[in-house]
Amino acid sequence: MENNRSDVKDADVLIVGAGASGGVAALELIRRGFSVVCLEQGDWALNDDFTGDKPQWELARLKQWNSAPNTRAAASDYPIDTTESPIEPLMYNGVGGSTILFSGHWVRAMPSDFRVRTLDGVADDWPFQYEDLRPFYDEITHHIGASGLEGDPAYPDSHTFPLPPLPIGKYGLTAAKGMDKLGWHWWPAPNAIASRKFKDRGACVRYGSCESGCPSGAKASTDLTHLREAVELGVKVITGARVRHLTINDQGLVTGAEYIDRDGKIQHQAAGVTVLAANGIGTPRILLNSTSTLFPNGLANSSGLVGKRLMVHPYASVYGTYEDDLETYLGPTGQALQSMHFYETDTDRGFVRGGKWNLMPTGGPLTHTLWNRDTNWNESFGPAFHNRLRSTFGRYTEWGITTEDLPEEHNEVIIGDSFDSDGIPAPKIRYKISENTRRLLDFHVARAVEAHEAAGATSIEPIPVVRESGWHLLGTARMGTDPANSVVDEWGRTHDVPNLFVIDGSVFVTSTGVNPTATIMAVALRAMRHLADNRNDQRTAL
Amino acid sequence: MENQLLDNDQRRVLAAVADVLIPTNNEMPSATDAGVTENLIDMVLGYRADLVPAFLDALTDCSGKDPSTALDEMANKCPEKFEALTLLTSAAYFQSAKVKAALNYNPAPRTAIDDVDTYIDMLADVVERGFTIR
Repeated sequence: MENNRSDVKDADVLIVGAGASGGVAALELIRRGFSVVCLEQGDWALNDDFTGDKPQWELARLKQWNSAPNTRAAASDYPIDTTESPIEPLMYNGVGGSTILFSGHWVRAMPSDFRVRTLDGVADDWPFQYEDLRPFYDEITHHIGASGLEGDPAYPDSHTFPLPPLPIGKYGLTAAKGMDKLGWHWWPAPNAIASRKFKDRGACVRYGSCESGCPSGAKASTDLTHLREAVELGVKVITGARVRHLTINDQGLVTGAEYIDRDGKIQHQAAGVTVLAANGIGTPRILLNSTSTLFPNGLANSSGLVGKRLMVHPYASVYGTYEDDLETYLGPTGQALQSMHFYETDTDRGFVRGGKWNLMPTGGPLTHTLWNRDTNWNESFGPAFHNRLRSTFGRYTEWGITTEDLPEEHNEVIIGDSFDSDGIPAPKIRYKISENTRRLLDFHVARAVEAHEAAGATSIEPIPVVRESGWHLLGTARMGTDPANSVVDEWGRTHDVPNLFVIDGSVFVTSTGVNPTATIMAVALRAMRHLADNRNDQRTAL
Repeated sequence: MENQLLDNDQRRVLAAVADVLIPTNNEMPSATDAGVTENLIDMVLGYRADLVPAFLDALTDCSGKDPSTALDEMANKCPEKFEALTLLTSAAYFQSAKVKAALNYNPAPRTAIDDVDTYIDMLADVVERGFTIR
């Protein structure tokens, strides 16, 4: 795999970020004949780098392979000031981006997600509809080798999967019986994890370590699904490259990016078109750091909305303990079941919109014996150590709730007071959980308690807001048709700079109530295909 | 043995504290019975070098004191040391073959066997119940 400095002096397209959307862009554009350079601040990872199949796994996932960059503090990470946020942002900085550590929940948004203003009178409608995105969902799902079962009645189409669903296991069956007692929707969950060998990836062998990297290569991280092929076709991925700012010419076009290489030297990559794919925090950070006489408030920020409207999906966990050993240490992690029963608005509940539930396992034994600083240590150790272990290990399962938070301008990414290890100003997030989301969380947690009760749980532990849950970084460079109240158009092109695109989760108009990776990748594919189809009309800086 | 961070005195302190943290019970071995103070603690210290200073400080703080009293004091006054001590002691415990056997812990790898047959009839009811799509 090539990790060398670019020998493409002037690229047709520069992509910043080699994650979910960057991987999609790289493969689509190289296939369409563009010369492509991709800057990535981290490195390639090999399957053997991950520890899920090794004795140190449970320790490494708390530090070296932790999902929070502020905890991991690797050389490729940048600090994020979270002192004004109840949610810690999670991400991975390296080739594959956060798909390296994501749990692989492969969930489409619902049709109503694209029309929340029309249906619920809140936020804004997207500039396109579910049907516009559907072919791109289909294409990506079959390209990456997602596992799932056709026919979920929650969707208007019986979309297919190239692989059968992963096993729901004993705990999945137990939970499903509970949902049936209540008459609530459930379905074997779709996952971006191969249930059988797919292309050059092996099948899942159930380590359950998805959130700290997949050692068997079954999980569809984009280093495996897109970027290896893209490199083989000619994409130059420059690793260890941290972008300081984008550069512009006097016509107001982006000419590329200035970055710091792994030797600490300043480099410049020139390109005709630049595509930002650095996630909902990294992308606004770069735009806000790219100030100039022409763009004194940051690039593409005439609306003032770069960094605004941050949405992070506050997440609740409701754990149930069961009498029988349900093998809840087995993966994937990954979701066994999902439920959309309370996804849509019912105003009688006192809030709008809803959330998606996922049933998940709970890991190895160490997870069940960690000390919480808020408790007396005698509740965790001594005789309690064995009691806790016996009651939870293999018997403890989670209904996790992904909640739709609506866009609010006071929730934002700004440039903070700190700097990364290369001296580049680092971001700060300011985020508050809204009253609508609070009510939504309360309602869903209460229902998930009922679901565990119906399934026969002997004890139930709700966690109304999980701090370390900010996987879904959305909305900070929103799409729209009006340059006064949006940053990019429906194809990801910034209104202010015609050869600058944003294609990551920043462009989300609303957050939806589902895990966003499938939508991020479908939106990115739609945007990059449009760019390629209309290349003759595209202004460039070269 | 090479690469051992702990001397004999530190191992004795750890043994006393570890058996308070993880005593024996009817089904499970104690920390020392599981071999925590032998090679297992060295193994996990190697996995988390970032925690070694706090762990060693924790042992120093416990030296010459009643283990329970020392743990009480540490949990209240130096929680980062308490976390390092308890996390690494527990992690070493779970590396033990005796412990895995006592837990009946049969971890992956395992083949992902299709189990749709176990719930396909239930799904017919889910489909029949329907869903209102907006």
